[in-house]
Amino acid sequence: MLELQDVTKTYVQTRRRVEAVRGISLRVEPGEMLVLLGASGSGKSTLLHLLGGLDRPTTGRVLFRGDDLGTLPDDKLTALRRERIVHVFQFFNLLPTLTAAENAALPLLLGGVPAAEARRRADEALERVALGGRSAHYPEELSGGEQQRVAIARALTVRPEVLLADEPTGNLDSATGNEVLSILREMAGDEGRSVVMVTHDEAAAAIGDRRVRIRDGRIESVA
Amino acid sequence: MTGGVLLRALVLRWLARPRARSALAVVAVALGVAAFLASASVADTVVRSARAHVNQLSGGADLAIEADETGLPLQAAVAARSVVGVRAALPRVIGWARADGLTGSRVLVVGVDPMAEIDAVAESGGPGGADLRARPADALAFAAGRAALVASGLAETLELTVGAELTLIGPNGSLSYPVVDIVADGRMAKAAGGRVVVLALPAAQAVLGRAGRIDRVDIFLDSGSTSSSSSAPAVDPVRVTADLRAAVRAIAPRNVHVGPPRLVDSTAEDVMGTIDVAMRVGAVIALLIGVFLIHHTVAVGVAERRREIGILRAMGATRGQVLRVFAAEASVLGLTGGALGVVLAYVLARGALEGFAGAVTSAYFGTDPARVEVSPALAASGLLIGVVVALVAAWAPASQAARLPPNDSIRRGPDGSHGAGTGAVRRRFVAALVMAAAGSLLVVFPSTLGRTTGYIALLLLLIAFLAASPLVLQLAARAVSPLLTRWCGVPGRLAADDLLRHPRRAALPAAALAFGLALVIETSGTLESISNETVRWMDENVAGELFVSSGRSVMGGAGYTPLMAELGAEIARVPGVAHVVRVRFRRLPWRGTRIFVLGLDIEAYAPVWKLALRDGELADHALELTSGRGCFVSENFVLLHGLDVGDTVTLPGAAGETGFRILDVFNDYSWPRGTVLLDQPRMAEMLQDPLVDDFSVTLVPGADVAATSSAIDAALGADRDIVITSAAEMHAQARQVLADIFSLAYAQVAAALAVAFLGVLNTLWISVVLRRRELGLLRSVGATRGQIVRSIVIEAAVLGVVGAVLGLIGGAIVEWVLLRRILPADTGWAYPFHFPWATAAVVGVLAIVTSALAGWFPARAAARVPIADALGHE
Ligand SMILES: Nc1ncnc2c1ncn2[C@@H]1O[C@H](COP(=O)(O)OP(=O)(O)OP(=O)(O)O)[C@@H](O)[C@H]1O
Ligand SMILES: [Mg+2]
Repeated sequence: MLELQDVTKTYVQTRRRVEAVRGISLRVEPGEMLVLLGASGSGKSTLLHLLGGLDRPTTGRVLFRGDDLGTLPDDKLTALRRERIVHVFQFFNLLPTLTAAENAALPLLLGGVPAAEARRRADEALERVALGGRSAHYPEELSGGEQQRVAIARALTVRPEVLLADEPTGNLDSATGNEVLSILREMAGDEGRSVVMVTHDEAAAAIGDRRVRIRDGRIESVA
Repeated sequence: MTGGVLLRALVLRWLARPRARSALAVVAVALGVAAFLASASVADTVVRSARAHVNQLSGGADLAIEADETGLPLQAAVAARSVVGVRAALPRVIGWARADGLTGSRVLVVGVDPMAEIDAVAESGGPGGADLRARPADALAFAAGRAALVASGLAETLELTVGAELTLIGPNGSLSYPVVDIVADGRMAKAAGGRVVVLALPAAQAVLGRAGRIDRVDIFLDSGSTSSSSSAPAVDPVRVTADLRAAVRAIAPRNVHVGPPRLVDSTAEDVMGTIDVAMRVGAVIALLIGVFLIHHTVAVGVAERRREIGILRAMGATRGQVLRVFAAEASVLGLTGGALGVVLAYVLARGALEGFAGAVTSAYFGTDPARVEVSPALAASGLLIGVVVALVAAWAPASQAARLPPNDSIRRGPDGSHGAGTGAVRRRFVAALVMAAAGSLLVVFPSTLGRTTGYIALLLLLIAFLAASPLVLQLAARAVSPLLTRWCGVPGRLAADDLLRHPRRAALPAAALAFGLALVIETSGTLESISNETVRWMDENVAGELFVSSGRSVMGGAGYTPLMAELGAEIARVPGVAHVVRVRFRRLPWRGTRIFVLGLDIEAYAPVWKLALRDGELADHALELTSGRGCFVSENFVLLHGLDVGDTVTLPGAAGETGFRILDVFNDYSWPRGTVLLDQPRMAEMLQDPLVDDFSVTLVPGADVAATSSAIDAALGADRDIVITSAAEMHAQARQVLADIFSLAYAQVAAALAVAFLGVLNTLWISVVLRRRELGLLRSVGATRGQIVRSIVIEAAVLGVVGAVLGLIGGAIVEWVLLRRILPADTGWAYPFHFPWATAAVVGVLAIVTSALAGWFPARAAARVPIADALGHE
């Protein structure tokens, strides 16, 4: 349902050209958990941004259910991000001025869902990541792992078709990291949802259905 | 060496990038410096103008005997010649007349003694300039008062050639003279813009209606006095001055200056002081706003470079080095701004300021304005101000940068919030309360610290206001947050959140805006209050429906000549005229300043008397007034000089001093140093000055104003230099003069408002830059570009509203302190307070709209940034 067709991405700066992605074709199957592995600077984040429509490819196509994300107008792309393909990042996932519940409800509120309804769904999602009691807390009152779970709860309130996570456990200790990983694992397949996760960590990669190794902007291996 | 590396690491690459906010800060400093220099140069100009025109003509004289408006008898020159050491004593009479064919301005008529002048010309080049010795016939005609010398500038304007006829129109009618020579003399060209006519003394006295009197005597000493190498016995100017004083005292009044020709009338400086301070207040506020902007720019620069600073500190850079690097950066901003400001001030001086300086000069000093100039010294001080302002502004953030613990700044990176925590906001608020209390105490007890109390109070209140603005903004944001969320949804909520989280950052544009608005309110409120009160006062107190003068503007202006008292009888005979009151104004030197002496002929004035007296009625005092024993004084006179009913005012007269007992007190807005009212016939005797500035004419009931006006015109004859003004025109003129005087204030207001709007744009821009990641995150979870833009625009509009409200309130306070505390301390006038509602509405709306717009630009830019970039590499 989400497909990269011979995609390249070149960053052109004043002094240098960086070919971050050099021709990658990849399909993300419905309900699967796909893990992207690779050395630092190999182009994993870039790939994830392309998959989520945060960035447009230099050449090639990114297809989501037949729509080319590279040419989709901004309002369509925004709606897509709000409702169907969501991101979880390594750092700075939450707005510091909003409570956990408000952060979780943010995409719904932005989409015009009535506040009460958005709130109910946010509470539900926080419940699912075991943060039911913390909904009124601000991000600075939460630990790194809890913050990451709020970010996942935010993804859940939307019931997206694809969840893209960029090193979601990157700055968590292994125990907390494992909690986050098991929640992600649960979410994959639920309602046919696909999860794409970037990680450095071979152990974390083990929970994926498929592992794609990236090297210098190309796919090295798929396992 | 290390300094160089640090500079490169922290500053040069940074400054090299084109940054809207650096540019804005530079422009803000430039505007502030320009406003400051403009005020200073105008003040200089007005003081220079106050006496310059006369002294331009007497260049080269060693000493001078200078009379005030009363003049000197001609014998003064004769007496001066008999003093040992005096080579030449040249009498001059100087005044203004209309020249036939010249509209819009008048000509400066200079009367000289041709024989004395020709003797002196060889060495000094007196105002007669032309050498008529080779043409005895012409010289004779000139000496006999039958010919005129015309300055080349005037000759060009009127297309006069030698032999042509020049008609001068004075208060006694018109007189014609053939032009015997056209003089291209540098000094003449400077005086009165080259509109100068030189006549022999008797001719000039006839044109000007000054029989037998002269204005000054220029003294040239024997040549030994100037060069020490000369073999002649040296003449001691000090001794000659003393001898001259003694020689003149017998025949001339005491209000005569003997000494080196004065370039500036020292009393003019005293009068100028008030105007000067008022003008500089605006400039200082504009500069203050510049300080905020630089402070802010540097502070944000520091916040954004925390990581770099941390790395450098971790590698061993000292605090002093970091501090110096930021000081250097601020100096570059300040110097650039200062230089731009100097350029701007030059442009202003050539343009708008000329009119202002002219209005002030002619309103207060009755002379032609000099050219407005920005002197090199002033320009240099502009640069210095720019740098100092920048350094002061940069101090706090720079030392904060130097104190950053290295590890902290590396870890937190550029997201470390720039802004104080709630505790700091509270502390500030307490400080603000203390200052506000101190300021208020000074307002309540206005004489605690003398004349400057009002200014100090104002300063304290302003600082209090600034210090309090973050908390005020926080409270406002908290109050409107639910409303914004209800009306504007998530964008509204986010806007309110950002205001709450960064009260100090957000308070800056609000405060800048508030300052700008306060200045507008203060200026236009003061202008409205003063002009409404002046016009009301004119309505109530100035008797007469028509005023006959030789073109005097309301407060007395350049280039008019008083009229002969006899005209009054002619006017009285015109049908429709009921009463004619003779009015004479003089500004006499008194206790180191000048006071206004107003002569009204009480006998004619009594039936139409409107002046409200503080204690009694005119009838109680009429006899003492008309007998010349008593006077009335104005309220501001009482306040400023501490004399009251029963005390005696001693005035300088033509034949010594005369004392007048104060009989009662009246309200008067003619002169900022106080007014003394005398009976005009007695005043004429005292000053040996029978002339009249204008005749106030009241009409018989039912008489038509316009018809009577033309009848008077017809009766007096068209060849006299006379202007008839109706009461309505007089009011309009009064307003116009006030508006001219306020024009500089408005220019400063415009500068301050521009700076304030730049400030809003600057801070919002910065706030958007600092929130890049946050905005990127919002976009990544599905906020549309529209929602991002809306949120920032709402935030900006809230800032605008808070700024507008604070500005309007602050402006009202400043205006009140100015009108009720500062002006009274300085001029003795306490004008009633009037809030300029219409202006307030316009600038309030303008502030909100502009600030929303100022948010819109960076918002659009922010919404366009690709999300992946905004989030940074992850
Ligand atoms: N906006 C950009 N401008 C220029 N170059 C970029 C940009 N974003 C990424 N790059 C470059 O593209 C390459 C791939 O970057 P990317 O962030 O995708 O790597 P990554 O595999 O996620 O690395 P890491 O594991 O360190 O996060 C890198 O060389 C990086 O410097
Ligand atoms: Mg990455």
